[in-house]
Amino acid sequence: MNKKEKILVLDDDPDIGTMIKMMLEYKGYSVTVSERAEQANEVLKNDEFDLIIMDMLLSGVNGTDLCSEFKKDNSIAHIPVIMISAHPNAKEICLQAGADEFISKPFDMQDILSKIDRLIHNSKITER
Amino acid sequence: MNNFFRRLPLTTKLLLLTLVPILLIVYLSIEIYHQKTRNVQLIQGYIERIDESADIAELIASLQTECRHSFAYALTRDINSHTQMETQRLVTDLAIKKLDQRNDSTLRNFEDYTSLKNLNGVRASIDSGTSQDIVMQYYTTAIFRLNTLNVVVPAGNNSYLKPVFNDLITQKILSEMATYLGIIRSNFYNVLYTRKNMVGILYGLSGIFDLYKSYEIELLTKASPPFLEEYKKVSQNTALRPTMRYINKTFQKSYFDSLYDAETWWKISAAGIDQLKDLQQNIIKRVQASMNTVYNKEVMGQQSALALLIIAVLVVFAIMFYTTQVITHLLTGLNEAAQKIARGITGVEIKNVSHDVIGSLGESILKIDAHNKQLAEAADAIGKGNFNVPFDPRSADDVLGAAIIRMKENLRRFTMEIEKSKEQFREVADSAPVMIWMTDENKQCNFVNKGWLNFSGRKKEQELGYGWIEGMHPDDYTRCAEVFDDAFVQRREYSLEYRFRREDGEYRWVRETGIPRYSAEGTFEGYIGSCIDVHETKMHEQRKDDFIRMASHELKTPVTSIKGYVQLLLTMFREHDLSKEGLYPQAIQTSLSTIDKQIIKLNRLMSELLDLSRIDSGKLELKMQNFDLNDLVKETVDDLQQTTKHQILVNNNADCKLFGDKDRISQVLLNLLTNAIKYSPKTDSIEINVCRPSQSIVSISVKDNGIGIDKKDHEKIFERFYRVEGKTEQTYPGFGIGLFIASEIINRHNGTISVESEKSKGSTFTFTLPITEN
Repeated sequence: MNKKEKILVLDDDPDIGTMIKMMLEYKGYSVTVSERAEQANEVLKNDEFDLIIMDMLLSGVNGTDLCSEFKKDNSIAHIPVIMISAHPNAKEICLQAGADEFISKPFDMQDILSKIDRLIHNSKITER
Repeated sequence: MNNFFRRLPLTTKLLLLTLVPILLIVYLSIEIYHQKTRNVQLIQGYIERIDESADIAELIASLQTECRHSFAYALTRDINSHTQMETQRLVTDLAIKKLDQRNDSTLRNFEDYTSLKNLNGVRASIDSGTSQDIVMQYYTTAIFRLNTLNVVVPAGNNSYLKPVFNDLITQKILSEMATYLGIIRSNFYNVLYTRKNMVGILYGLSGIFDLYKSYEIELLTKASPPFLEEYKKVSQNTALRPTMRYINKTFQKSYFDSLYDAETWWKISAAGIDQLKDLQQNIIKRVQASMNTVYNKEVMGQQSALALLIIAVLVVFAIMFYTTQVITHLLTGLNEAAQKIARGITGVEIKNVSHDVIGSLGESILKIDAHNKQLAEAADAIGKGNFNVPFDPRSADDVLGAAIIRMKENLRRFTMEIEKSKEQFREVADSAPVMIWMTDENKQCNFVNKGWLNFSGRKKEQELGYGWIEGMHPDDYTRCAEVFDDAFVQRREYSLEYRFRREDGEYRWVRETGIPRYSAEGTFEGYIGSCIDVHETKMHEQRKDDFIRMASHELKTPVTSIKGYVQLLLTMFREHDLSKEGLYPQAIQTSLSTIDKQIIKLNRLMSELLDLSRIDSGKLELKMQNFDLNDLVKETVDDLQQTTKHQILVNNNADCKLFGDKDRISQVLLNLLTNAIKYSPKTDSIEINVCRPSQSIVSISVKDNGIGIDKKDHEKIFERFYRVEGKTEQTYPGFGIGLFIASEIINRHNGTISVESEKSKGSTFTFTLPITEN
């Protein structure tokens, strides 16, 4: 790993956010956690990310709507998005909103890591 | 014969009937005509006979006159007598010729036996001077002979001759009398002229005079009273009287007195005889006239008989023809009326009904018609519910009338029962605490109960038809209309929920159920149904669902957190080999692993609870989409394979796409696989078989070699909360609702789910799904 891939985690539950941050940082990613959806746009402008992990339910903002916005924004549309939800049946909605992957809560660490790896890897191949 | 006559057309029958009297009349008329003709011929014969008699009488008279003149000439030889004689001879010849021309057999060669063939010889001898006695002799003989020819035919019972018979006899007698009188007269003349042989001649003449008198007596006996009257006048007032007086006196005295000289006697007696001749000729003329009258009458009768015959035939024929026409017309009228009645028409008309059997038939038909009309009106009135319509049977035998009355009574009873039943239905419906409604076969509402009106606070008139739809929440209308229309077309029962406005304006959730209703004959009549206010329940469920959704989410957040940290710890522990630090590495790893496993179980339990809640509240929504079955099997197996030591083998013999909820079907497969893993702890292989038992069905089975299931439990394991339990078996954690949820999902996809298993010999769970797309 020559360079640390940057991952943005959007989750209004700080425990979950922190848990994912620790999990991913342990695996060598650079992780930024944002608890508030409003901050997300600012964060995304200030920094370049390789992947976004976001909860479907964020306080004040519908995660799927936010995802759709991301995918419409040319500057960030290329960033792969993994959506997380406690609803096991929400996968369809999330994929329709533009998410590249869906993971239901509670998730398996191995599962999320392999999906992140695959998405970033694919994304890099595309970039090249 | 009888049958033959019956089958003949009416006209022919009537004509046959006409023919017999006509023939009879014709026959009788011809007979009468013949009779009349015979009578006419008979009379003609009589007339001819009489004419003949007249001719004979005329000849006799001529001969008498000629005899007289000849006698006078022979006696006197004077020129005057000669001239008279000559003139008379021509008259006599004419009379002979006339008689000659009569073509009568009785007169054939009469000149032979009347010695008239010698007439010319006698005449010549007279002219040459023969004696007067010879003359008298000859003429008298001829006249006698001729008199025998003048035969009077016996009248018998001949009604035509009877009236003239006496006259015929009379004329005959008169002729005889004239002859004898002439003989007497001539001899008297001879005596008076010659004055010789007086007594001798008188003696010789007495026999002749007796004959004359006997003829006169016969005349007086046989002649008709009018003639006798006439005869009396003639014999008293004419020259006959002095003639007869002189003759009588002479015979009485046997002496010729000097009252008359020869010439005077000749003249007076001539006038006397002429009186008799006149009488005879008058009678003959009268007879001829009378016979002509009879003849003309007969001819008239004959002609009128012929005319009557023709008229009678014509009249009879005309009457028969007219009668035939009338009867045919009457019967045709009756037939038309009867046919109308047969076609069910009422109000037939029959005009000019006669007073006979046809008329009676007509009246019967009119009665039938009137009765039919009465029946129809009564039935109409009864049909309209007027059971008080007055109607009486015609007679004790009036089957139809009695049937109508029974029908009326039965209908009255049925109607009352129906009314009562309707009333009861209304009472029940009104007293029910739910809203009850009915529609007709065109979806239009035609009944709402009191409960409905109480709820909506509107009037019945406002709700009927489509008025009630105003109360429905606009957002629910389209959805409900679709469900209702669909059910209506298929005549299915249906159930749906929508918001309906209460009288206070608040929209309340109601659950409506409807079922099609049919008449007793099975005709679809619309729907009947009810609406229950489920607002509270609905709100309660809503809150429960919200709660469960929220609880599930809220529960998952800490579980996610715990699971994440545990897995992080486990990873770190494995990768960094913390055992070196002197801690209790085995204990820590075991603890973390156990926490991790239990969290998976906890998560599944929560999911199952959530699903159960959804199924119970009917909220298990399926996200239908087309998907590839192979992808689903592969993804599910791949995900699971990472977390189990069991080897999952897939035998896929079908390649197909399905239309359904991919996640839910994946959930079913996952459930079967995790069960297989869970209940086969001692083996390590699971087999998935995918195949297509038919073109439209795909079958997915999961086979394990685990502990198996007793047959008695096969059906029950798909029930909720059912768990296979036994003293000897190891207990496995879980709510026992996994298979229930699986079977719900498969059923919702119109599929089937089943199990084949034997105790200790493993289990095979199979579910099938319909293939809608290849």
